[in-house]
Amino acid sequence: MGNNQNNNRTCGLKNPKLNALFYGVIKGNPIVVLMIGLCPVLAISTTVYNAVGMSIAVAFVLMGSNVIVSLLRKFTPNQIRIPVFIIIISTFVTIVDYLIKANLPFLYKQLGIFIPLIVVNCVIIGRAEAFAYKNSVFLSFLDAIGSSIGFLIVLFLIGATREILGQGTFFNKVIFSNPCIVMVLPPGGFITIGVIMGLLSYYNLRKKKQ
Amino acid sequence: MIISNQMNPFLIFLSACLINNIILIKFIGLCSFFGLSTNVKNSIGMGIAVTFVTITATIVSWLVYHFALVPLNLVYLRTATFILTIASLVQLEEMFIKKYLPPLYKAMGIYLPLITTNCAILASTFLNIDYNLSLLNSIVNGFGIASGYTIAIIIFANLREKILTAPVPKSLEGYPIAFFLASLMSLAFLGFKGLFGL
Amino acid sequence: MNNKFILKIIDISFRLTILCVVSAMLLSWVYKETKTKIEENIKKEIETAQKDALPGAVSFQEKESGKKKYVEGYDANGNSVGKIFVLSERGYGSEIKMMVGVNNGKIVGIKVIQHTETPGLGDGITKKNFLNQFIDKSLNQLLLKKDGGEIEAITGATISSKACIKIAKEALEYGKQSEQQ
Repeated sequence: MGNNQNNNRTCGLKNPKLNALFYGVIKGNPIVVLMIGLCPVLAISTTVYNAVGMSIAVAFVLMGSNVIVSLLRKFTPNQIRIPVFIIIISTFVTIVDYLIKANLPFLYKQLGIFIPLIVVNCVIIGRAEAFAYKNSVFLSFLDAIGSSIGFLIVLFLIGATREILGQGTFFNKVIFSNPCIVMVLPPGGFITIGVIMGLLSYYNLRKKKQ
Repeated sequence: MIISNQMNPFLIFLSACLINNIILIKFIGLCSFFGLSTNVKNSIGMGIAVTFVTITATIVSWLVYHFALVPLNLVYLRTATFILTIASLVQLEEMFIKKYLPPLYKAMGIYLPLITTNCAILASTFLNIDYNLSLLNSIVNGFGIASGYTIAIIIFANLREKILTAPVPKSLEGYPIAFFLASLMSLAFLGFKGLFGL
Repeated sequence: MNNKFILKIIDISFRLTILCVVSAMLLSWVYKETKTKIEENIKKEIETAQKDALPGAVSFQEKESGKKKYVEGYDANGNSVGKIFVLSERGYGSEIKMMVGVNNGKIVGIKVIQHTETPGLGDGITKKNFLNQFIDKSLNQLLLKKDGGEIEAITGATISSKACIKIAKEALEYGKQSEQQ
């Protein structure tokens, strides 16, 4: 799945800590490179507020789960690692669910069913399996930060595009009227991601030619 | 209309399958949708697997929710419980089908482990609770969601196979053009809105 | 061999059980801590909506007229400032739920509390400039301009606009009914 030109989980930096940190941002960006974690991306990104809110929720769960999975990696025999990941991740997701419900009721209404769906967000299980289970706590934490930043950047771009073009506002401040409504509807979401991936692919092809 | 127990089961099915199609309208279940739709045979297998798991998961999770979580005041454990239910069911079903129904296993067995993280199934369990549906209506809703998923993924796989022979610009090959295709399909399915007053 | 296998199973079950128990305890703690705040949020939301629907009301009381439940609002002196009805009607893509405040046969406040109409078209029913048209209107003024009334529909969202009008009319009817009792 995905344009995986680089199967080592590094981005070429010497320091393993910086490697872990920056991998998730560009080379191993969960959404556009690894093609995982797509579910919330299209549904939530109708406005920038939702996109950023969702990214922060995912970041919280990702950091928590990566750290705990890494802490417990000696305690977890190989056969039961998937159930263990699931228990850890769903605990953090439930915590985030209730925290948002209590403190940010407006965001809770916007995200709705997608908060519990973070549990099956492939980004989190993917990073737990691919990295946190095999690396130290600090490196796993950095990896979580990197992937969260990568996730946030892409979600922000998509959210901004859809909100500005589709509603004419940015963070609910009106920018222009007569927006193109299809952008906030489902088809618009698909088109936005298609364009972003097309641009990335174009950039990669040109790099290859040089 | 918001889905509720007062609705005719046929309308619930239609709403879940076409009008609020889980992939093209609700955007849930996309990972597997884009990952596996490269050929039609895979999609059919995936569709069958999803239908099978959704129906069983719907029943079990409804029972667990209404007979264990609610009476014991443990509603906050529902996320964890549902996903663990689905994961366990998938494991059990894989073992069972491998042993007792080999032809079925050949058709869809390999997709079963992938379905554990399929958002569509978890979403259908949550939606049944949110709409407060009875057990029978939940099964209809779950079956509708799974059918919608299957229809969408089979059509999409056919489209993607067709487009392999079309002159697509180099940078759009693969996923970008697939997303554009999905957007057109989504536009088409938006047309179902208002059908039968739904 | 058999012994080793059984030991392994016990070991695995033990670890999983500990993890589940720890997780359940943590979640139960989080639930208790956030419970009051969540209930407060819900109450606040309803109160804000009620105050929007009946401007000038400071306290509310639930009542029933016939089979229809409603909320009566009172001002600081204990005088009734009107009644609030919560009604739903099918819009274009969803059920529209609104809170309508009526007093003396006229609408005094109106608010949309739930809908999933088309963004950019139908969701204009939540905007102030559409809803303000309903204020101070009585039953025979509640029609679209093109039908002879005084309400201007949202461009491209006639069905959603009509649904709101239907709800407002229903609220006035209920208001009249409840006064006759």
